[in-house]
Amino acid sequence: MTEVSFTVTGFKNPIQASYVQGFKITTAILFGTDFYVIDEDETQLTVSLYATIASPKLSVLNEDDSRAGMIQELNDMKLDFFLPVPLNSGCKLKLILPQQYSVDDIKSLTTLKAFGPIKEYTEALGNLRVNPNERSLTLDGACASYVSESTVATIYLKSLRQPNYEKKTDSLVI
Amino acid sequence: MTFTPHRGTLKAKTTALLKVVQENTRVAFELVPEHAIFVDDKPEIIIEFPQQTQIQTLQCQIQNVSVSGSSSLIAEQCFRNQQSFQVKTFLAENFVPAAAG
Repeated sequence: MTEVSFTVTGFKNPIQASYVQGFKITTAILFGTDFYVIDEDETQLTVSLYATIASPKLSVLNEDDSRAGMIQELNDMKLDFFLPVPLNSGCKLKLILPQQYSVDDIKSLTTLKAFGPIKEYTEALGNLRVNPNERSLTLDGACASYVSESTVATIYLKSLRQPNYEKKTDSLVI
Repeated sequence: MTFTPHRGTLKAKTTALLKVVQENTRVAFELVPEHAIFVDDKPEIIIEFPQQTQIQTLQCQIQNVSVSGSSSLIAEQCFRNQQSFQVKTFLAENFVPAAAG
């Protein structure tokens, strides 16, 4: 097989991991301003690695400060982080809790800052999908509008029961 | 009376060398053209991007040109147009596919 190969710099990957369809590659001859095609093909490009969320900070809150972060207590949880990439309007947000947590007691999830005006999501309202087996919370349409990168994002979880005993949890996934 | 022959096909593969979203990257192109390309014709390669693509294109630069692993090629000129890259004079010698039609 005889092939021609080369690399081209000057691309910036998409803002989401996905296929980019429809690259058209043509070998051609240029006469004046007209191209005369020899061979042609269409191909696609794959971007598969996610960006890493920058500077995540997790805080546990309780009206009674002495109960904040205490085992088996119902607390609220606040997540702050910087967006590493821009997000399109209507972006999806998914949280997967560490295995030491359950989603059963969570009453609502609230988004603000990068996600737009403060908005509360609940399973009862039908705008929050809760998967107990996966310990996940999913919002469709989490971004009110396009958000540029490096914007601060904040998420509140209302009523999250702390683990049963004093041991460092696994990682929370956003 | 005139006659216009129709174009052939090539097998193209594109690979983003850095696969992290939103990062600047180089894209590797591997082409297996069906037909010969002759240097005297001043051949070019046109790389068109899909209209709705979310990939961004900046100034382009062509590198590492080779035919079947031999990097004896010349001219590394790449021009960015509205929705495409235009790679000019990319061959040092005629390209003759192993199984030309």
